[in-house]
Amino acid sequence: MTPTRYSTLSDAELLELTVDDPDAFGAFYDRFEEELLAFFMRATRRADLAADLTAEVFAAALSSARLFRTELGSARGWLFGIARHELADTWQRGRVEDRARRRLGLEPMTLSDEALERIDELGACGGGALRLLEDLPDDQRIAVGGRVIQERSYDELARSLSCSQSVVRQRVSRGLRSLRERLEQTS
Amino acid sequence: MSELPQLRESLMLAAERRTTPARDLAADASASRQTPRRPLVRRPLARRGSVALLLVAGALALAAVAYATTQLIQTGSPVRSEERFLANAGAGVAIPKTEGLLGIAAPDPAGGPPWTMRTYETSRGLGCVQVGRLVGGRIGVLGQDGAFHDDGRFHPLPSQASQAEGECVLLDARGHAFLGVGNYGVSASGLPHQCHLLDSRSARRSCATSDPRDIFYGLLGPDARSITYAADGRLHTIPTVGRDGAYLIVERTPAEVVALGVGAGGSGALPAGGGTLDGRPLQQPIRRIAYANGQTCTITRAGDYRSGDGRHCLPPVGYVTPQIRIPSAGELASPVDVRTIFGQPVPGRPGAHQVELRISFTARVAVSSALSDYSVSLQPARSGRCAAGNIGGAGADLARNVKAGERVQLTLSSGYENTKSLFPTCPGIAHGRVFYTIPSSEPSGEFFYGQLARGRSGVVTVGRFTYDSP
Repeated sequence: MTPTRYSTLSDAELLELTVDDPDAFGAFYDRFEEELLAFFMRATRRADLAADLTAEVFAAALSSARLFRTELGSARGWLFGIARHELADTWQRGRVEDRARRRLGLEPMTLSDEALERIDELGACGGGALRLLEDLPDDQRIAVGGRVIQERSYDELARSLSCSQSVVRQRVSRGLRSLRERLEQTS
Repeated sequence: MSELPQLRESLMLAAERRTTPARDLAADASASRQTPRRPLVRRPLARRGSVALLLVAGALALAAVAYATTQLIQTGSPVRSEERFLANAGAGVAIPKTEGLLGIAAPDPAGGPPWTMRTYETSRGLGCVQVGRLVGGRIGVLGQDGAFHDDGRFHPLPSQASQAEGECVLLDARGHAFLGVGNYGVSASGLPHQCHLLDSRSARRSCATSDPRDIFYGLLGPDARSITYAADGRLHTIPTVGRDGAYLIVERTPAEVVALGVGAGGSGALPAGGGTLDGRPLQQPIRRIAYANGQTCTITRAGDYRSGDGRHCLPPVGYVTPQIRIPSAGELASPVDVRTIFGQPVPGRPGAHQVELRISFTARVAVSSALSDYSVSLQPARSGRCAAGNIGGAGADLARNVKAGERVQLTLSSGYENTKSLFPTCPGIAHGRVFYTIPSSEPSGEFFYGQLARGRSGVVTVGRFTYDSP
């Protein structure tokens, strides 16, 4: 199938074809690589981690492309569901897992300075709020980052921060209020 | 242009590898086509959306079904595995004497050979389940819906040929596996993993647009007595089968779903609805499990559990937590040696090089199953890009058996090419730890061997080391 032909296919169709057409997964990869890198860049603020997480997510996606089911949501949503899970897992474990990559027998990835710079740039969008996030007190910054950027549940955050859900909600609420006020001031 | 061309290329190669076994299957199928084939005899299609389920316990029923189907279907080449299994690593290999078909023959909604289950244990202490079509007293796959070039034959399914980690779990203290699986959009051929062994795009399309099944199966433990499931707008209660409390439900995947696409699934220690995809739960039909002691576990369509007395359903009734002795730090302690190897070639990147850290230590305590493991983690200094801390380390697991006293080496590779540091953006002293671990009680994910239901988990440090990242 030619690249032009792939461009006419939906994300879901590409995933379905992936099972026996490697090029289809290549096309799927091309559609989401930048977006995924930017997502992880915003969440981690580190290009090397963003690349590592992106690799793990695509490896997991390739392994479980067969598990994708269209009626449960979009292919993009499915991919970012894996991404959010991976990010939460990484947050909890303190390191990026490589299970999916090992399972596929993927070679370890190395990054050049140029690649890191490009990934840095991808995450630059929306950086204003992120920079303001840096100024929040630690407890609020972690809570807001976990809830808003990583989209972790309150329950999950409460467990990882060893406090109650209501405390996490309070921190998120206060953090967002502060962010709003600061954004208004800066604008 | 890709930002990460090396990753893209590796993924493409991996995708290619995953389709290769299918070509082997094609060759097998072509060879077997030399013999005249008989078509599968299929009964008229059942009403769409209907559920066909029957758990028939007893060898008599199995034998009768086996006899009937054997008369109609010829046998072709066995299904091949696309994975390589080692006795002392990963999931291990199947132990022949533990293999056995369960006395289950669940009718297929469209007719033809019924569905059955096989269980086996592996050399690394896991209990695994296979599901397939039952012909001649054997479990296997039918050459239809694009599988085996639609040769109409029965292809026996060897143990492990379909093994995915999600279908293998750690055994409890009494050697029982507790597992609930929901697989949606499975090819009616019974070919494991939703058609991914098929050999051509057209076959794949054929599979995707055929008449797939939603399959729910599992092992609820020796104390489970019955399950109640929803079908055709009402509830049905049926007994579980065998010493492991097995159940198997086969439904026709609704037509509207088939039209959209197929393939989803999930597993857990109790009947699973496939977890969630994109935040939306997958539905499953089982509503209640009844146990010998009178306890019940109520399950929602989304797969949430609640026992009859308001407690959580986990650990499942009958589950006996393995008595795992977690070694003390003193028993495990070992000096850790670290060697930095520069100039290691980067696979697939001619001329590029990278740094490797080779961490070696003496495994004072043996690892003889998937129940324990040695791992290493390395956290970069909180400097440079790592100033915010929290995440970003490197890690590796051994995932194989080791003897007590064996010298073990784990390798950490730099994620950067042409640098002299493992963490070039986070210079300073990185702190590393080698540790011995037993599985946590976290719910199983696709790449884990199921959970130890509320069992003990532990992480004990073997030794620490530092690495000065330039």
